[in-house]
Amino acid sequence: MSARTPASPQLLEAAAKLADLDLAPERVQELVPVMSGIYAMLDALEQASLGEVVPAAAFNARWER
Amino acid sequence: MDDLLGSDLRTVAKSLRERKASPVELTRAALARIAGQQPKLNAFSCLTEERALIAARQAEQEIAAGGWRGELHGVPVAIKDLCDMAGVPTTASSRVRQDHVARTDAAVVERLERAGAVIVGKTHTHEFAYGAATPTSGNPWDATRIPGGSSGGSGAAVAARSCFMAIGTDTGGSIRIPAAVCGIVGIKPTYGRVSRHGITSLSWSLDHAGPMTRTVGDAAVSLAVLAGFDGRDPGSADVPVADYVGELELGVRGLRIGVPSNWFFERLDPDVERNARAAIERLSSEGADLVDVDIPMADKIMPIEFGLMLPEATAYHHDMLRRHRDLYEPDVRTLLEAGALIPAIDYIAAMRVRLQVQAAWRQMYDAHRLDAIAAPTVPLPATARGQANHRWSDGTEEEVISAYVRLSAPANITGLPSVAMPSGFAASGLPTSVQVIGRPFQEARILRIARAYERTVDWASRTPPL
Repeated sequence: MSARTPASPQLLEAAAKLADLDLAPERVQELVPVMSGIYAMLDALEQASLGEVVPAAAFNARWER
Repeated sequence: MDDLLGSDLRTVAKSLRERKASPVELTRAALARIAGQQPKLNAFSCLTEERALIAARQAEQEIAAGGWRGELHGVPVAIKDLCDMAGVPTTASSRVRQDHVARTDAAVVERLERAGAVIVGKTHTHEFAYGAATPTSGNPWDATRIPGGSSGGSGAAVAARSCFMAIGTDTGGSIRIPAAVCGIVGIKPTYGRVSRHGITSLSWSLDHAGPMTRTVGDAAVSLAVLAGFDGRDPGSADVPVADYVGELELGVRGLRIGVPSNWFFERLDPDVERNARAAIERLSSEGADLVDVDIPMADKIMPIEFGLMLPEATAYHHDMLRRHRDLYEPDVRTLLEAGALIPAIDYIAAMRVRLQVQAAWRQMYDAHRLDAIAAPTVPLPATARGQANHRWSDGTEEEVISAYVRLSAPANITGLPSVAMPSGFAASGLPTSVQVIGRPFQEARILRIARAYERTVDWASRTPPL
């Protein structure tokens, strides 16, 4: 459980505003359970100890660099 | 001609080369078969009859004049309707793009036409490749079931014997999922191996393109045509193309194949598990050394897949979503809106953890000296059309899309090559599948392993009861 799970309509309204996404109130309600699940899934990424790992901005599948 | 349509690509290529069959007659037969199947399967979004017959006549003349170009010369193939063909609609099976006509060919189309292949039409995809069902189309084994997705139209077309190869794309399993539930072969090559130039993007970090075929040998010769560096695709890998056919019949004696003890064998349909384990055991009987392995960081697989895919897909659709939101199908629209609500910090975390997973998988392969890992491709046979959730025997429910993606996502986030092939049938009569995941750019090795299994069974000769 994190500060964003379960998601609330207020949270999603704020997120949508930040993303410049126009969501009707009923649409926000529909997205609440969806985003609760997605945020809960993404919370697992915070458990990784990342240290100095850089983002794979341009992914290279090769093992030899 | 029906016999020829029922055979595999390499067999028909031999007939065409030896002039025992005509590319024109074969193409006409394929188009007629498609027309007969469309009401039930609706695998195709459009047909390109005129272009196909021109190509077929040209192939016939060239072969007669001694100018055989290779095993795809004169062979009817299909293209997923995510790939541009000049002058032909590229709709991504979406009302948003229903009037969109491409001006140039995708790289995969260029390569196929340079090889003399005859493109008979474009196959349905789950809208914008953003799903695992392809709801427009039916499964040839049971038309009330999904053909998988997102390359479901391609999977259905190849399984229904209406073409010999079809192009698919794979972001979270979209070549291998339809290959699995349609009972055919599908290879997602290494990330960057096949150019995505001219292919509508779903997620730049995860998109792959590759062939779907009836046999492993067909996949090998098709990949040989498609693979290669293309500077127009920023993710294209400048790595020499290996000989995918030369190693095919070498068998698996002495090769080391990892068998996962976690993730890939959790929450499976019993028939899927039984057939997968039998297939892996068959590889052992053929001389492979099986090695138990623990898949590292398995709990990070789905967060990385969705943490990358959702924001990237939304970024691509940014404009279209604002202007045409109501034209999207509800499931795709939901995912696109969801992607806008994910903070950048999550996306960047996904990109960072992805590199940790990549390193961990390399360590696993090196520590165990693995040539490949073998595992089920998907946990379920084809589900019913319109089915949103699957209930497991323990009473828990899982969304169908999540179920289908979870065993294919590892090869997307690691970028490793993975070939899916039939492993038999469930008690229901629906196909099951296994996948072989190899080292980077070792497509030849995984095709060899797949072929070693394929030649001990007769799944490729079974045809759907259409």
